[in-house]
Order: sequence, then structure tokens, then C-alpha cells
Amino acid sequence: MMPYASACEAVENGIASGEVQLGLVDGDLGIARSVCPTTRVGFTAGGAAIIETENLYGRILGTGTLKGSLALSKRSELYLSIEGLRYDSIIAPISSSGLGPGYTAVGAGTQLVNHEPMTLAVQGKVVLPTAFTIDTHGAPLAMDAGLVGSWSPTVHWTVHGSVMGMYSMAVGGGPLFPRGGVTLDVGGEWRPTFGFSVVVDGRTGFLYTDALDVVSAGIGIRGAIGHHAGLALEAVKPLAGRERTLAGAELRFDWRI
Amino acid sequence: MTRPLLPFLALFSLTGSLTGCDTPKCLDGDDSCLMPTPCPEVTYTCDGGYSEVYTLADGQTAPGGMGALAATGDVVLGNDKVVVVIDALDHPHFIAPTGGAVLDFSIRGQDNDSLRHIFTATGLLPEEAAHYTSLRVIDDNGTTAVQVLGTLDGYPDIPIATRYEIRPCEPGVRVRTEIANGTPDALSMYLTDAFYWGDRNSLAFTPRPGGGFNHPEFGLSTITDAFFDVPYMVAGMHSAPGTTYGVVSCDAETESGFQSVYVSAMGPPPRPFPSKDWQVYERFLLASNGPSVSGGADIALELRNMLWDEAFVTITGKVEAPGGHIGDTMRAAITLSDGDTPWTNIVPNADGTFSARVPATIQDLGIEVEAFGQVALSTTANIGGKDTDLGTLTLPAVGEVSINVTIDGEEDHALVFVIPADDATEESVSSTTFGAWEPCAPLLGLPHGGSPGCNRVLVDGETTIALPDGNYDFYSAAGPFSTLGAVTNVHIDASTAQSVLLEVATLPVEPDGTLSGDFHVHGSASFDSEIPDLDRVKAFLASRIDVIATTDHDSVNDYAAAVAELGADERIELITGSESTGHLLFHFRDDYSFPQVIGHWIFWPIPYDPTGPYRGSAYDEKVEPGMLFTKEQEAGWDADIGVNQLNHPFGGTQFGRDYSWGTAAGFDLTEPLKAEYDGTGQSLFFHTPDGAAFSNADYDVQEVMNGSKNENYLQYRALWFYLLNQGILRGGTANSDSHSLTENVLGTPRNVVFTSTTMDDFDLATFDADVRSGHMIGTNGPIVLARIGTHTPGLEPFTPADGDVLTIDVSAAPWVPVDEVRVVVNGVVVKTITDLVVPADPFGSDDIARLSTTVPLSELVPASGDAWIVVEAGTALADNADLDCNGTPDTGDNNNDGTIDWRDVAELTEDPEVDCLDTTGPLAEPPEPERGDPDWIFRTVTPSGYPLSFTNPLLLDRDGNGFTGSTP
Repeated sequence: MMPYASACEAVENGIASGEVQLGLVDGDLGIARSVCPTTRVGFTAGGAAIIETENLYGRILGTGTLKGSLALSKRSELYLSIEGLRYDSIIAPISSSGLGPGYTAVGAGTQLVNHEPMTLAVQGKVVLPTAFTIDTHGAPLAMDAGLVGSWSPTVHWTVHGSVMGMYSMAVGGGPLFPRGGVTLDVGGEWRPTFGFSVVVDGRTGFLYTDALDVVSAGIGIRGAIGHHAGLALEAVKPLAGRERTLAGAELRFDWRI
Repeated sequence: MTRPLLPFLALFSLTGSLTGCDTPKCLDGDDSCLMPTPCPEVTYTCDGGYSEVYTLADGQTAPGGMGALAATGDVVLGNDKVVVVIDALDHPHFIAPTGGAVLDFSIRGQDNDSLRHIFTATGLLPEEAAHYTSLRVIDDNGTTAVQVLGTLDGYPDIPIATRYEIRPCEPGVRVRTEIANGTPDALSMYLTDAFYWGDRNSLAFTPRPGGGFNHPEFGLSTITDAFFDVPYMVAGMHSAPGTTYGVVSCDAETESGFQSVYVSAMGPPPRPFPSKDWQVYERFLLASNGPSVSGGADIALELRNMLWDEAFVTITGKVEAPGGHIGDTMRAAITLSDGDTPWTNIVPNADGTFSARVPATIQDLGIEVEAFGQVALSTTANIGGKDTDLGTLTLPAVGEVSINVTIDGEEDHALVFVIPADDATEESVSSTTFGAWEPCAPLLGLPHGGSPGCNRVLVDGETTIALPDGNYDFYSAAGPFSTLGAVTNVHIDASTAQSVLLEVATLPVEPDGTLSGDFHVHGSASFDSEIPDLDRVKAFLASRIDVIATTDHDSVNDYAAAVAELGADERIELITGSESTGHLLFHFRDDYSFPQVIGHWIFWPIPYDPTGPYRGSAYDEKVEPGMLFTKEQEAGWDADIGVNQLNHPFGGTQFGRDYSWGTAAGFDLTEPLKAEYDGTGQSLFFHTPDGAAFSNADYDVQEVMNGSKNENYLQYRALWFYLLNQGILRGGTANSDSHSLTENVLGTPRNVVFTSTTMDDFDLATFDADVRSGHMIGTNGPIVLARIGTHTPGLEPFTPADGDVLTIDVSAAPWVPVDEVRVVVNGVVVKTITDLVVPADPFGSDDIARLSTTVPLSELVPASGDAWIVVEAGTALADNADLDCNGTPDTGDNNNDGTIDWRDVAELTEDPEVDCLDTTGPLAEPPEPERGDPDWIFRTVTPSGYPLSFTNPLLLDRDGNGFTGSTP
């Protein structure tokens, strides 16, 4: 067994940590980041699909996102996510599709508690309505905030969880359509080496779209490439609730600075 | 402090850019909201202009016209130019789930509404139509408007609001629709006005290269390819009295949409509609006097001049055709184009003059003049973007012929068929109406308008028509029980005026003690018919039919004015009724995942209500048959003495709507019906819907023959036989389902009802009781009589005596060939008789009696058990097989290889390697006859048909305990 420092300090390469980062709400609303502040930049290619033959409805969503975070200290970070490219294809009797910039998220987090092996942080972000070509007139302004914690009994295992409140409303002159809800996530990472990890998550959402928004399972495979780079392949599969997405997946490349 | 503020500064900037100046005003659930006046750039002025808005009060006369459906409670928006009716929220029509749509639209003082309706939707699915829940009449300081608020039908979280506003002097109504997506889902949105034409009605015209009246055919999977961006859409029904309708966007220089004979859709291009997004669409719906579309196109160009500063010029001229009289006996149409893009289509005035607008950008004007559906003149003129008088456009000379018909020596109403006498003439004169509908040879007039329609002319005394050069035959009959009047091989050219006299004599074919009846006919009150009432009643008279149930789709019409004008009340007995025709798709089967409608059902009598919604019929959407019967009874259908008829019980869909209950329910005729309801189609037959006073099975009769072609006879009789075998007794009927002079010949086929009532002292209850009891035969020519002892066909079982024989007598007019007689026992043809008399002269009056014979019952029926017998007479039926294993014939030997398999299915190109196919058809018909053959002669007045007659069943209760069904 390797020397044990803390869950955050033990990993110094580019491998990602924390819960599965792929969300099913625009701007990854309700998804908590790792409790470990890092400075990194990355690019994510993601997609999701809805196939409902009986409703003559389908959706194929593809995104390309630039992400970056700045560790202000060992306890705090700022981050920015710019969905530079969003392809949204709605399959219906009269189909349509849009291509353009997607949503921009700006967030911050700071640790409230850091007692080995437990860390507790508060996080929040604002999702800005920057999908100019797809949101033609009205667009969502969204935000989330909540607590995220991790417990690392050994350097190879981390259990994490989060509770995030989220809210959105429309801007652009139309009805506000305010919407609020809560997301709960519980998961764990198994890190057999510092260069590879597997993460699984169970996530539940309430009240945002329905009494039960979603019960989903997420899985991710993460690896380090050299000392700075990291690669992650993550997927989410909704199992219950109102969520219509069949499944989503994303491939993420990070460069830790 | 600066860095955290940056996102919010960006946000405020973004909010401003998204908002713009024209945001939704009525999507927050506040019923007191007011939307602004749509299309503020449009300005019309005139002397004496006014506008008004009012709710139609009880008994108040509504604007009229062939499509007029306005009822008490609807809202009228009018000015000095046009009158628009917005239907009341609880009077929805056709495809709209609620009122709040444009129901009627006519020119002030003309009473010429020919619109079905225009409603707002965001897609093709039922849940994507606007469902309005509040309606507000605005009459304030000169503003006259109607504002309706609601949501999409299937999306309570998608608010939608529409304002219709009319101003003085304007040739139409301004419309603004607001919508926002309050769901969490991204949808595909095509915010559109859906112009429901209903078929056989208006044809849409769009200016685009290669466009005009040409539009690609499409299906659900190919509809995207049918979308085009165009500056405007106008649509006209091309025959008077009719109105031209159109739309011009006030938001953008082009609109996107698709066009068909059923529906046109125009609006902003389809786009993703993410959660929380919204859209506003403003447009001007216009109307002009028809025919054709030039009046509408003139207004569209005028509007675009106001909206986009596009200049237009006016083109004038005159069309002449030596030998023909433009606008009188001969119709011409002129298309003006810029070479690639047709901009307008004109039907000249009665004196041949015309005037129309085109864009001022046109330098070289393309001019194409059609006559009889064919290009008669094509030329160009350099107009240099200026107003231009084209002078006289001279078409090639045409011939004229005067037609007269005598029936038993007297001039009378008759329908004359004009048929090319040789292949060369047929080839040269065959054409379509701007590519729509079936070809006509010759195209004397619009196929679904008044006379002449297609190649058919109503005459009552000498009637003159123009004809293109060629050789023609002229035929007429006074229904199927007369001689066939014929004058053949008449050469028509510009040099000689011809006259034709067709002499017809009635024949003693129809048995004594009978009345003939057609229980399925349509006129202009139906959404898919545009034949004027006067011509419809003339067709009634020409058919020599006694009793007609007027069964317009979802509406009742008594034809009173036309009957009075023609003095027809002593000659025909009209029973007012209605054909319920579902438009709104819904789920009623647990074993089928797609929404459907329940097919078509006819009810009579229903009192005609001239100011009521649906004119007295019931609102008929989204209910199972049993509830439909209940609602019709509540609306006024007299179920005690009346008749409820299942129409064309097997078939497919039309405009995506099931027109056959049997197919919609998915009845499998290889399995018995389920007595207990389990949600499956097979259990729907006996199901009584919640709250209904009837079960789905509580209908009286079903159509066994429908339409002059009899194309689905095998399927209809399969269901009828299947039910008889299970002891479910329903009378079988034969109806024309005529929609015009072209779409089925009225009275062909018809029912010959054995009844004690007479035309002199007609008693509806007696007549209907005989119909319900199956005391009738169905026929398009032959009369087949069957009896066992004194027992005649009907739904009353009897016990035959030992040694009884089946007596069969067949008669027909000499031009009606009868090749064989089939005796059907328990659904199986057990005997075919082919040695019938063949008339020596099909144009004569002899050889009416074709067969008189007896057959011992012992040769026909099984040794024991109940049995039923139906006798058919006519042409031998084509072989067809049941390839989808549902007990109904569906496919013929279409490749003539001697076997019926997947290779005969039109839509299959490779062996699907399954025992039961998902895709089948088409059914095979009797072979096409050669010109001059007896069957060809029959087809001259029964297009594409073949002779056929059937009796109702003789029900043999052989064990004396009632008829309980039988085994094939």
C-alpha cells in the first residue's frame, strides 16, 4: 500500500476524481465536482440520445465543451465550462436540428471540512444562456448549489456523495417558467493505481421536472497519461423517473497544470 | 470584486439581445392580457370602410357558402371586404381539438365560403394542435379582434395564444400567435397555420421554381423533403362559387411549408424548440373571389409591397378560342411566370379578359394558357418590369357539341359520359387538373366541382359544351334499370357544330314493391366535396333513385333550396343524416401502439339544424363507436326508427385517418370475437364504453358494396360473412359513396328495398325497418332474387321444409352483363351457375331476364345445423388471397404467374420469409375489358366497375331454436 496523505493530495497527476461528471440537464446542472481543487484545462465530447418510437420522438444531442478550473488554494477553486459546440437534432414527424454554441457554466467551490479521511465542500455554479442559435428567443438561466463530500478509507477507495439544489428560469422576455429541484448522488471510486480508476454513481433527482426526475446509474473509467494528462470515459443510464434520455456518454481529456 | 460580476454583466447583455422588442404578451396565464395588433406595417385605406365583431346569436344568419359551418355561439369578424368566423371553443371542427380556429371565410356580400378550417399547430401529431381554453371578443375604440388562449393539446406546459384582428378595408384578417415551451424537453416546432382542404377542394399554389400547383408527394417519413420556402401561398378551388385563400408572413420574407390536396401548412421554418424558448408569428390571412388563385396572389403581392417594399406590375389581356366560348362552355387558365417561377394562375372572366399582378422584377414574362387541362398556348412577352397589356391571346380553335337526353321520350335530368372513341383521341385529351387527382379524358371541367366535371355533363334539355378535337362516344342511362343511350364515334373539330341526342328508356327491371335507395352520398357540406347543391340534386334526379340518405361528413344538409329550385320534392325522398368521420387520433386499443380513429359511421334520420354546430350532427371525436351512437342519439338521431350503418368496414387510412372500423379495430376473422372486453381489438366489437347507451356492436347494417368500382367488395363481404357465421346478424347495403360527378356515380351501386311504403305515401319508419331487417338487395345493375318457398332474404330466420328448393331469378338491363350466379352458403361458394342469357344487343331493350332456376336445398346446405344463403350475380370475381392471415382477402395475382404470394405485393421487392406478411395488396379486380366488350360498355357509365348484385341472407333455422350461427 502506498503512503497515505489525503484523498486530494494523494493524486497529483491528470486523472479525474469525484462523481461522474456527465449530467442530463443542460450545463450539467445539479452535478457536483470533485472536492479536490485543481487547476486544469480540458475538452469534452459528449452525446445523449432519446428514442421513443411510440411517441414518434427522438433526440440526438452532441456537445463539445472546453472546461477549465483554477485552484485558488488547497481548499477552493473556480471553474468555467464553455460548451462551444452544440448539435441538437429533434426527430419527429417534422424533424429539425440546430448547431451552434451551447451553454456556459461558471462555478466555484470551497472545502468546509477537511479531516482525513473525510472532506466536505460547498459548491455552486451558474449556467448562462449562451446557446444563441438554438435558444432562439427565450433561454434558461440556471444555477445550482450544494454540498459534496468524500470519504477515503484507503488511498484506493473513495466514497463520495452530494446534494445539490438547482433552479432555472427563462430570460428573453417570455414566461419565466421557474423550475427547481434537488439532486442526490452517492458513488465510489476504486483506484487500483494512481494512473487508473473506476467510478460508479447512483443519482436521483427530485422536483425539477416531476416528483421523481430520474434515478440513474453512472460509470466512468479514468486514466492518467503521463504526469499531467488525463482521459475519462463516462456514461449515464437513466433507470426510472421522468427523464426521457436513453443514455448519455462523454469522453474527456484533461491537462492538469 | 470585479471578476465575480463578469458573468452577471454578460447575462444582462445577453438578456437584452434575446428579448428584442416583440415579446410574448399572453403566455403567463393572465386572461386579461392583450396582444398587440399583428402586422403593423400593413396599411389599407378606403372610403366607407368598417369592421365589426359579434357572437352569433340564436337564429342569427351566419355567412353562407358551400363550406359554411358557422353556428350559434361562433364569433364573426367582419369588415367591408371579408367575413371571418372563429368557431366557439366548444364547437371544434375537423383536426382542431377545440374551437378558436378560422372556420368560415367569405367575401362580404358573396356568401361564398369554401373553407374547411385554418387552425394553428406546431407539428403533425394530434397533441401538437392548439387547444384553446378561453376566448375573448375585443370590440374597443375601433379595434375588432378575437383573442384565444390555451395550450398545445398534449402539452399543458406549452401555452399558446392567438389574436385574430380585422380592420376596415382589408382583404383578410391579421393573426398573431405566441407560444413558449414550458416543458423540460426540447421539441421540434413548426409553428404553422394548417389549412385543411379535405381533398377534392382547393389546390394550393406557391411561387417557387418548378412550383405553382406542382408539389411533391410525401409520406410521414418523407415530409421534410416536401418543405419549401416561398414568399406566399394561395389556394383556390378553381370553380365558382369559390373563394381563394392565402397567407403572407409579416415576420419574414419567406415562409416554409408543404402542400397537398388534404392540407397546406405554412409558417416559420421548423426548428428545435428548447425548454423555455418562445416564438411569435404574425401573418395576414387573405381571401379573394375565385376561381383560381390570381385574386389571392394579387393581394399577396400587395401585402409584400407594404411589408418588404417589393413592387408589382399588372398584366392584362384577353383569351379567345375560335369555336369555344371562354368562361361559358370552355374553361381556360393562364399561368404567368418569370420563366422558372410561376407567380399566379388566372381563370379569365366570362368575356375572356383577365388582369393579374406579378413582381416588377420580371423582365420577360412567361405566359402559358391551358384549356381542357392541356397547354394550348405558350409564349413570352418582354414586359420590362412594367404594367403591360398582352392584347389578345388566341388559342387553337375547338369544337362544340350540343347534347340532349330524352328518357321515355321526355327531356329530363341525365348524366352524360363523354368518352374518347379511339385510343388516339384518348391519348391526346387525357389530362389532370394541375397534376391533382385522377386523369380525365377529356377534362371538360374540374372533376369535383359542378357540371361539367371530368368527362361528365349534367343535362336537362339541350346543353352545349366545348370539346377538343377528336372522336367521341356519348353515353347516358337513367340509372342501372334503363336502356343505355349511346351515340358513338362523333367527330368533333372546330369546323362543325355537332349535336347529340341520347334516347333512353326505362326498363321493367326493378321488382314491384321496391324502392331504390342510396344511403351514402356527399355534397359540398362534406369537407371532401365541392359539388354545388344544385348539381348534386340534379345528379340525384339523373340517377332515378327513390330514396337518398344525405350523409355529409360530420354535418347535416337538407339540400332544401336546390330541391325547391328544381321542383324535385315529388321525385325523390331525401332523409337527412350524417357520416361521422373521425379526425382526431386517439388510443382505443391496448394491442396497438399508434393512435387511430374508429372509421366512418352513418346515421339517419338526423334533423337538419341550419344554425346549430355540425348542422344537427354530434361532435364525434375520440370516442368508441358505442359512445358515438349515444352522442348521435343525444344530438337528435332517432335510434328507434332510424338506421346506423357501418361504412366500408375494411380498408386503410386516408390522410392518416382510419376509414374502416374493422381494420382500425384489427379484427382477425380467423378467430372468434371476444365476448369479454380485455382492451384488445378483438374484444372491442361487443364492448360498451363507459357511459354509453349502446355497445360498439349496436349498429344496424353494414356496407357490403361501396363505390362504383366495388374495389373492396371481397373484404367487406368477408366481415359480413364472418359475423353471420357467428350469428351476428346485420343487413348488407350497397351505396355509391358519391362525392362528385367524378368520384363514384350517384346511385351506383344502390339498394333495392322490398317495402310496403311507396313514394306517394312514404313512411320513413316502415322504410327504415325494412332496411334494418335486410329486406333488400344491393346492386349496380343486376337484379338477383332468391327465395325458399315464400321466404325471401332478410334477418328473420325460418325453418325450411324437407324438399324445399332455392329459387333464383336474375334480370338486368341489356347493357349489364351477368356472367355467373354464385350461391354462397355459410360463407363458401357452393354453386356457380354460368348458363345465363346473353343479350343480343346491349343497346336494345330485350333479354332482360337472364336466369330463372331452382336448386334443391339438399344440394347446397350441410346435412344439419343452421345455415345461411346469400346469392350473388354478375361478373366472375378475381382470385385473391389472405397473405396477412387475418381472414380477409388482401392480394391478387398481380404478376399473373398463377400463384398469389409476396411477389404480388406492390410494396415488396424481396421475400420477407415469414408465413404472414405485414404488407399486402393490392386486391385484384376482374380483368380490364377490351373496348367494345360487354363489360367495357358497362363501364362507360360505371367507370372501372363490374356488374355485381347480392341478396341479403336467407337464414335457415334448421333445428327450430333460433339462428345461432353456422360453420363454414
